[in-house]
Amino acid sequence: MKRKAILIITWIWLSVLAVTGLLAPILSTDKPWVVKHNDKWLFPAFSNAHAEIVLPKESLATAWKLKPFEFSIWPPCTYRPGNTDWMNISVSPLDKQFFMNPYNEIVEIPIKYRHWLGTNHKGEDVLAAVIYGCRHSLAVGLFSMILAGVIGVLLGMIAGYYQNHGIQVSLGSLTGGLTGIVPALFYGFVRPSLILPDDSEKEANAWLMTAFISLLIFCGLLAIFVLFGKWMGKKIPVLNKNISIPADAIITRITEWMNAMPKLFLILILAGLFNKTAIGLVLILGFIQWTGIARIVRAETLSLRQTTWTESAISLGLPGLRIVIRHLLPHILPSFMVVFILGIASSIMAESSLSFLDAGIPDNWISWGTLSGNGKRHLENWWLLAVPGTLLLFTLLGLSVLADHYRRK
Amino acid sequence: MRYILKRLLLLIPSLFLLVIAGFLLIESAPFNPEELALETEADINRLADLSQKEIQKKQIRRKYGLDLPVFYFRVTHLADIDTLQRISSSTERQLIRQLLIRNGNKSAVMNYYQSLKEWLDYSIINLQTEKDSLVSESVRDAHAMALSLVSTWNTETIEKQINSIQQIYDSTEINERLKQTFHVFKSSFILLKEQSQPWKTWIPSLRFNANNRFHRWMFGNGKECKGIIRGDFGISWHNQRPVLPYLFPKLLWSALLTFISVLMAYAAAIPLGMAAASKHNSVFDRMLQTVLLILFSLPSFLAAIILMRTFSNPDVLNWFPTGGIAPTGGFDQHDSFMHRLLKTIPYLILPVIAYAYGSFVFITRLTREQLIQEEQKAYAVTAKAKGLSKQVIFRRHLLRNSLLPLITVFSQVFPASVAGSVIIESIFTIPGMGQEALLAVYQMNYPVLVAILFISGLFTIIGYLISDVLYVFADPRIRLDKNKPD
Repeated sequence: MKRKAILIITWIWLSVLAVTGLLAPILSTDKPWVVKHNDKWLFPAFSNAHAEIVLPKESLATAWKLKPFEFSIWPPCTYRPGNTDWMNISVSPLDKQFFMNPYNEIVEIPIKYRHWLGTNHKGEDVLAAVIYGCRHSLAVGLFSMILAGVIGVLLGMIAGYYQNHGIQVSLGSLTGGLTGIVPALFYGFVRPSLILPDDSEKEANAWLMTAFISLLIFCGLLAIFVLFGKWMGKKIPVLNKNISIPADAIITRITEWMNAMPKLFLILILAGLFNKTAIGLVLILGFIQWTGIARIVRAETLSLRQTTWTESAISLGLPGLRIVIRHLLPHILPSFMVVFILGIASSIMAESSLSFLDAGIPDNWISWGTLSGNGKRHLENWWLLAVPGTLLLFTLLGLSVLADHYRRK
Repeated sequence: MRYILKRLLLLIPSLFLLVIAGFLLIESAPFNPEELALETEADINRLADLSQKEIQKKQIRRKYGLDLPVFYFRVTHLADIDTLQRISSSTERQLIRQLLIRNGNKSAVMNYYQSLKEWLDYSIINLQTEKDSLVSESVRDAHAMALSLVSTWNTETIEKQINSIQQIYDSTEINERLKQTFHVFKSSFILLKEQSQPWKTWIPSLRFNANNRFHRWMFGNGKECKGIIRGDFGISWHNQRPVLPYLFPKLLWSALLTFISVLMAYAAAIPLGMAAASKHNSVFDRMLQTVLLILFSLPSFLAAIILMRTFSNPDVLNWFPTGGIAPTGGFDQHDSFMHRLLKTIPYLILPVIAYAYGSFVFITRLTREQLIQEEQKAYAVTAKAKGLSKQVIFRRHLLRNSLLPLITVFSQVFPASVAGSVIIESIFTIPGMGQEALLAVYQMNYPVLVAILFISGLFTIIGYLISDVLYVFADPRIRLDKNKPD
């Protein structure tokens, strides 16, 4: 079948990309994988312990290439991003490339040290940048969609399964929770944030830990207040009434609002606000992309809710969580996969657009978008744009084909 | 009519949310306009400059409303004060904040701060009037120590500093007035230490402020600031001009481009989708599907660059100008509107294509899928059995029923093309809102960013509204069904 062949090619292509991204630091390095030195086998690319090897011109990026070894195995790309090769500046993949050997003679480059995809205006290898770019682009796309998937499935399921009358809360716990917000906010977030440590030196990732502890205190205090309210409700009959929370209406409304914002603008502006870290980028994309998933999951859950087997599961007295996880989730999976894969594609596209515009991305960020942006500034060197552009196009194409396949299923 | 009215009412919370988001954006800006405006460095040792700067800073803070609390209410501890924002120096604000959260005694802290300020002022005056070089040397040391007290809030460190300053003052002949103010300061510190009430910092309190920055931003203060509600988005931090009049001409270009491209996308996509659906599974259909899939995966910046390199490249095809929106040198003054329009069209063609192709692909695929789905329904089979031609069935019977999802998409195409404008406009150098947004992000010009966010959000909401109205026209059932839960 022709369609099956296309699918297999797509899977192979996507797995090649995934493996490349995963193994980027090994595939693209300026040190050999294996060398034989003084009758000892060494693995410079995998460990930093190579004290016994004295390199000529240690400061040079090509230092390892200048040392004649008895035997050596090199990675497919013998450069790291950032390595500048001043012998080959702005050479195309087809051009003749040069190499200065240990005896300071300029010769044609040995085939294993070739810049397979050319170099840019600084003499940086394009293949190395593309390998690392693959790692970053895919990681941002995948992790942001995992975050979006968790939020989307959770909210979509709640909206679809419980609808507007499914969640019942006693008036007591509601009042308890509402009164608990102020102290929980205070002890969780306000008071810790007000106190500045005397020594301004803080760890780089300390804010994540602090935020986690703050969230823990906040939730704990809120829970205490809610439980107290519930307990009070049992004593005071007025507070014992049940109120249903219109979960569906609230979640649908939020999704609508989120959709009302132009997404790329929002990402652009938010990305300018965050500290320009990769984690920040993932968080922003995740918190913006969940609406599509939530909408699909909600619609699917809504229609599944009306099937007879769900009804019978409910009448059997199974708990809601069990029904949702064991019975509904597997049925939602195919349509979820479609949105998820398309979401990865659109995350990658958003990330590369941001990188292309050079706005809101971390410093020294390498991705296919930044490479394309660089290519746009040096249009006379066609390979600088063509390589990352083609890769981006084919990656997105592969994801679209995969999504199409899941939709047909 | 009631349906539309109901939808209009639902817009209000969306707009409100947009406003709040914009305000949060401005508030979380990494720096303040006061720092931008005070770029001229004054010599800190000269009192005249210092007080000049102080006054200037106060004026700027008042101009931007920075001397007000942030929002209507805030959660804080019991000992906190509400008038903290009136102090113009951020270090001093931090000092008071830290002392309050550590000490808990409001009046003692304020007393300490005021006596510290007074003593520092005398110290500066003394420094300038002192002639004796030997004395001035040690006084200078003492002054440097005193200045460091402004950013010290650990009681032990303060005590150490005070003791060493005391030693310097005791060993040198200095102004009696300075000694006196120092003693006042010292006693206020002892008071601060003795009268601390740390329990107060552990009790949460909810504070209300009627006059705050959000209120001023939203509703204006009746004087220089008119507020968002009257269309005043404030002053651009970069060029000190009002935001909205500055953005308006740019908005027109963006709106024109978006409008034309959405229109073109629909005009091209629906017939093509129909043609593909009517020849379902033919070679033409399959070819179209493949091409559309590839186009769908093509990032818009790549598409724009490819278009530009193909059609405005002297080496390939030099049909259209590379970028911009008008001929170099501007329009002739005597040109009529039609002439100007005609002259602009070549500049618009490539951007419009780059704008439109994304939505075009999306709509074509949707139309095709929708029509194929409808074709299998009973009424379509009946029509076919009646002997109607395929053309008539598609145009008369199926199209209208397939329109609903297309209209839904309209509300999504709109925000997408607004966002797409950032990329396209920056590549084709069109002086529109997208380019302005990018510039504002680079310059961290938050008032402009908020205005753009607000305007584009408004556009999107209008798109939603239009699609709601179109729903009513496409499907009469919506008009009749009054009890339909939206």
